[in-house]
Amino acid sequence: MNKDVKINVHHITRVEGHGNILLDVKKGDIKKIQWQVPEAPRFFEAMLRGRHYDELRPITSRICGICSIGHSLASLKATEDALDIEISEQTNMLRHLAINGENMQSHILHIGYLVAPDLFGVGSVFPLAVSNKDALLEIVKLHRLSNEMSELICGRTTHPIRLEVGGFTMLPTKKQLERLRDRLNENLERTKKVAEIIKKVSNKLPDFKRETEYIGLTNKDEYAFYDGDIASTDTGVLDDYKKYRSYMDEYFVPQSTAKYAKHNRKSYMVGALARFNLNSKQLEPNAKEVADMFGLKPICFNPFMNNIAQLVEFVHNIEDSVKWIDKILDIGLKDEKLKKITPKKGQGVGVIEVPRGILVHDYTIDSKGNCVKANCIIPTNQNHANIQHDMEEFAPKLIDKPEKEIELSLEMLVRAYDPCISCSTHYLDVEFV
Amino acid sequence: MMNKTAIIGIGNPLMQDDGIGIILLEKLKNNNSISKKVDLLDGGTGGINLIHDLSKYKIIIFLDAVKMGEKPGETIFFNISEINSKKKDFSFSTHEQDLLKIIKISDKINKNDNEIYVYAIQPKDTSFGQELSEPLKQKLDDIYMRLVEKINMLF
Repeated sequence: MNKDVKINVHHITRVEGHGNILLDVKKGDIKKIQWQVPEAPRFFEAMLRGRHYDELRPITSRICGICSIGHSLASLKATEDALDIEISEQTNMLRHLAINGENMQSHILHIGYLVAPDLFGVGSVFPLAVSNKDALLEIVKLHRLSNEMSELICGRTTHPIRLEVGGFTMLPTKKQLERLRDRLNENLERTKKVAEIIKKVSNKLPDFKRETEYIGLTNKDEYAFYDGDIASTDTGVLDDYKKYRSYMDEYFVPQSTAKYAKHNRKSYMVGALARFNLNSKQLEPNAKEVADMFGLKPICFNPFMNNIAQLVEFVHNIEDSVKWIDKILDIGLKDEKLKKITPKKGQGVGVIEVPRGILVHDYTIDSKGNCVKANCIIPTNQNHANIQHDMEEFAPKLIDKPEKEIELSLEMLVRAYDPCISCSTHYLDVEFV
Repeated sequence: MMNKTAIIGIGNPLMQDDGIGIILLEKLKNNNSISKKVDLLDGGTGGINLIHDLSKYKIIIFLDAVKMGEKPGETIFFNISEINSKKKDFSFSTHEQDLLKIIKISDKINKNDNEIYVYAIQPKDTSFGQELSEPLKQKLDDIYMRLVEKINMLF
């Protein structure tokens, strides 16, 4: 217990963006443990000011390449709320498919390419392609399916083009939807196979618990993604979504340029595990089976189980999408034209569950239809404080272990949150050979 | 029917010069002779989501801002086999988007048999902002014309 440990992991690998872990142990005492997010702050809200309402969605869809459908939908919901625009039942159903597609894309990407290397004990997805090629190929097929679904509904795999204020600019055909339904059904077995593969190595997920609060959407009719009421595992349902700030108190800390957030406790968690903890009873049957397979039960206070909650949600998204497609086809696809919109003054809030948790867009629009004020609350920012407090409790349990293992365990903790710290620049940095 | 060639724009138009690939892609969409014979894809910041697109085409040209030590707005057209990434190995993050690693993993998984080129544009400023930096803005027509020449030479 008398050892010194100094860990300074810069730009932690396999999370999206930049984040540092700092651990300083002197003679067995933890002097400092910090989750630092030095990413330059991004002023997307400022960018939206002065923009016409129909530009808000395309701009916000560029905030994040992984959650571009989610940002699009939050943006549309906020805009439609501000302008009092009702959407059709068909649009509502297709938007449910859109968010399912994105959730599937993002979750399988995270589990397969970022978490699996930890579980299989390899450094990255590259050696995994050699050591566990069959498992990886199954995952790749699920990722491809998710991409195809997003492309069919939204017109593109990333940065969607068909989602517009009031509806869709283009619809999938009946035949395409039938084909998608068949593909989803065919792949349900594959997801269970992947779950069994992950199950075999899931003992690598640390058995660590810290009681915290979970915040997400809840909806009496469905496992909430597209729509619902804001809810907390501590304090229950918020009566009015426009009072979202009362559940999401954002503040700044010196170690991070990203905002932190709290509500009933010193921190809370959002994302797949939060949704599972709030809504697990509404999961589809196969998803419930997968949760049981891993012994996942609400309220689960182990942040590492967020990875498993993602897997459970992936299965749920497949089953749920089949139901929505059946419903759309039962009613019959209608060629709905986008209605003409008359701009008006108003304020609107769009709340939606995206892969990493609850996302809020809040716009104030003037009588000409221009945005005069915008606020976006991003899931990862809501998780930073919870990551910090987890680390403070997790690190003392690790200090007797070899330094490399401590480092990997702390990295795995951060990765479990699937943080998306930077959705910014992506240029190549190269040398010619 | 899908074309055998794709041109994929990469980057974020909310981050000044990082978005040059997307700006060029939009210009190509208005060029009928090119948009008829090649598929034009907006890769944006979708990172690893590209791996499936890579296996669909025989020839792919990426349009991307590339830090290569040239003057801002200078362009180089090269085959992907001619370069090494200077980004740290195994910093495999879906969002940092190291194109070379995405290509590598796609090759491993899909056994791709394709030719990949990059039309690289040296950026000046990739910080927050919706407009290109002054040097790139001034050279945009020239950057676009050089790209069209390269495409016409290939096909």
